[in-house]
Amino acid sequence: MLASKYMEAVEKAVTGVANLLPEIRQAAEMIARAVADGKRVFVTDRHGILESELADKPGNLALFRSLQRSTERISGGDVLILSALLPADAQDIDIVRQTRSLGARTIVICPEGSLAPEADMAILDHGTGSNAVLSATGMDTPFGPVSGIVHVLLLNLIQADAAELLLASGKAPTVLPGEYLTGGKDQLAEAKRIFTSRGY
Amino acid sequence: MERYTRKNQKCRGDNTDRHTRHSRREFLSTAALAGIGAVGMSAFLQSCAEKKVAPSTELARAYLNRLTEILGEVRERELDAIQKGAGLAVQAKLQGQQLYALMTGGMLTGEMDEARPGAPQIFITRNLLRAVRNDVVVTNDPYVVRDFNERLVQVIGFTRPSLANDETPPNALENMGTARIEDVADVIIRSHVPCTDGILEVNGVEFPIGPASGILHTVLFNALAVEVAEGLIKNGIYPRIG
Repeated sequence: MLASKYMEAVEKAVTGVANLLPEIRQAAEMIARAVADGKRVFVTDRHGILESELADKPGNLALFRSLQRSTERISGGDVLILSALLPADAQDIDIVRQTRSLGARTIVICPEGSLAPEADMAILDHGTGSNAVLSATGMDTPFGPVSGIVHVLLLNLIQADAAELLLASGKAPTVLPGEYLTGGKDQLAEAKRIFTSRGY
Repeated sequence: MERYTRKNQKCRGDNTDRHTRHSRREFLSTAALAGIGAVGMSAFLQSCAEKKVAPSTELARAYLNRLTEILGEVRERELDAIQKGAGLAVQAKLQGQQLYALMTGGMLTGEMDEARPGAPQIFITRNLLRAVRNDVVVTNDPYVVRDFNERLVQVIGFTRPSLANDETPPNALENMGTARIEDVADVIIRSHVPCTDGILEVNGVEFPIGPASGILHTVLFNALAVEVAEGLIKNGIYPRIG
């Protein structure tokens, strides 16, 4: 029964992420410092996972901007979070280099490889093996990806930790409500107004 | 040491206990004990570094714990539905029918791509409206499959926080809608994500932090896909892997 095995693998991967809390803290500190300095935080990835999951989605801190969709341009002191499922994609490396050349800082979440050392800090995921955690008799290729889930989980942990740091410094972060909730449209507009006025 | 307590859901009218509340007062008390006042971020972090105090990662841990709980609930309660849905899909495929999937919102973008490494390519993700009698459609949007029952298309439906289903608290959503996934689906797989999507309630922050729908929808969809893959493989059909 592969569904059960898959879910067990997910739970194991999720539990394993607890080992990365020190790195998550480092990333959260980088974000909190940028916010304290009035800088911005952008997110990006080639598959659009982060861009849609972290920017403009209910339950997220308002401070995450989609690199692709934002009308704002990244500049010195800003932070870019890049998630990559491959360890050495040339395009990902290029984005990190360009971002750093602008004076912005970079956090990458990726498998171990040549992308990681390019960034200011890297959180190594469970490796490319996490793209396929199951096997079946008769199948040459393993299957069942958990890497996307792990990446989003890492980001959610970074934002929870960043929220904790911001709260501790007296800056309660703006969280986006669901527009679909009762009264949500007005609440979302208000949240965005507050975020725009104070930057966090 | 757990320093957060459970409170009721923030979805209006709901009495279920789904959220974890972190007490900001407790957190700030701890922070004060650690020498952290309402100072600037740099001073705060500097203070921690000088005193070799690791500021807590309590919210991150709380999120992790809550997510793990939900995953456990899902495995306990949804596995039967996943198997049932997979059985429908395998049977349909063996009879020469097509399997479609359309997950709008919730699901992590890119996870259903043909190029997604490691993903078994089970479902057609385009031209859903071409589904005909006895085909199977997987979706979390009741509106796109509204008339599929009449066409005798079989539907495997996922609940999602932003659309009303039978477990959505009364008046929680601005638009409670005219179609529910339960009205249109033959098999229901529940995501166990509250309507706020965020699962971590924090004092001092207006809305729950940390959306869970993307993770849960992806887990459930992939669980269904691998279960279908297993059924197909047993019958000599080997799906392409992304």
